[in-house]
Amino acid sequence: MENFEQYITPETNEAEQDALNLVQLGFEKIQLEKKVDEASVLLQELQRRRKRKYMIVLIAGLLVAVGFVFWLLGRKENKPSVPPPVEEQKVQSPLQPVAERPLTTKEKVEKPLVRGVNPDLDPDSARLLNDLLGETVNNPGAFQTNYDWGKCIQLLRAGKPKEAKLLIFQLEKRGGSSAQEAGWLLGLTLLAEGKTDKAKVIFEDISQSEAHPRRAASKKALVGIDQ
Amino acid sequence: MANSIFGWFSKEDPCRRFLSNEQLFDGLVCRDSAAIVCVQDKAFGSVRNIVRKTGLPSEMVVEVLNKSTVIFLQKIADGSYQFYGNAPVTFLVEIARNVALTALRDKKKSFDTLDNHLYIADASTAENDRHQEAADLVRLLLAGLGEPCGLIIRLQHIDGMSDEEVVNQKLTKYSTPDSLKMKRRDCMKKLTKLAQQWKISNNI
Repeated sequence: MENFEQYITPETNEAEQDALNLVQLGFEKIQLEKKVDEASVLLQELQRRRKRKYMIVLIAGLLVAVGFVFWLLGRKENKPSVPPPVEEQKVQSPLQPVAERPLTTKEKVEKPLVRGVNPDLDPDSARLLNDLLGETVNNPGAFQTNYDWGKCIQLLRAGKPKEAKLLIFQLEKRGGSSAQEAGWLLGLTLLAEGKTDKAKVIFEDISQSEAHPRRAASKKALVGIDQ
Repeated sequence: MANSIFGWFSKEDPCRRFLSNEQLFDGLVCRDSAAIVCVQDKAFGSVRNIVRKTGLPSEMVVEVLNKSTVIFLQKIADGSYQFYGNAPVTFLVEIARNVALTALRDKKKSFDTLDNHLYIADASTAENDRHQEAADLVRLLLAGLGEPCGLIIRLQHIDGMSDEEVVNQKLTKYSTPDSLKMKRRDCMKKLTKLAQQWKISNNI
């Protein structure tokens, strides 16, 4: 702003000078207000940009958080099932095929019963069961590494047919070859329970089924039962 | 990543040029736009709280802040405010408190509400009023002055343009800075006379 003193001449009286001072004061105030108004506009623009940036960061953060949650959920679903504990893993290991020589007649009579077998089971049935279990273990087929199958054999050998049945039902639910094997094992279980008649029905069924992998074993079982 | 985000936000910081209160004060003395924006940005939150507590509408925050800033800059110019190391924003907020209370009074709120507010009588309130009256008078007189005097005076004394700029941009009919200056001198004499007459008629 130009200097107002240039408007003061020797002829300028006091009243004029007062008026000039007032005008100068007014202009100073107006200039100041204009400057502050301009700064205010800049400030408002700044606040708008700042708010926009905060919104962008907030939305980006939310998207990252949501993405992370979905990733966690996806990871949880795809996680493989927990392997059985160490003790059960030992059980899951393939059963060693039992190498058995044919029993002599004396041994057939004197051979102790299968460990833990039902004490009420007659010796012939017990011996037959033992043979059939041995044959099953020697010919595991696709079930060599199947936990339920291995455990079922163990339970039958331990004289726990009732517990073995639970696993048989698990096998049967899977259908296909598992259901076929479950049928065979059920026959062995009934035999272990002393229910020879019912076992015979199952073995007859299997022996007549051409596609059944245990057809030959079933025929052997029927021979054993009839003896 | 954090640094880049911080840098992205720091671009919006109007105070990044003023690393200390003293630097900010020096900027305000020079009426640097960046300094004014900085001090207003710092005071904005406090002024908003003051306006809310006073019961004024939220739309008045900017008005109160601007009025307070003008008063603050006047006090810096006439030496009423001296820098002793304190943050300039503190004083600005105090001025805003008084401006808000004045606005409240002007809105003719019930006198009961005034009892609940501690109104600190500012010794320079009369000074501020005098400045405001002078500004209002000048606006009134400029409007009464007519053209081209109103335009010529406004370009120089309000918009801050130099004679060369006015001539180059052909904002008036005067083609040389000297002729423009001559005309402006005449206009200022008229303006001063009008102001004198106004003072006499108002017995000031």
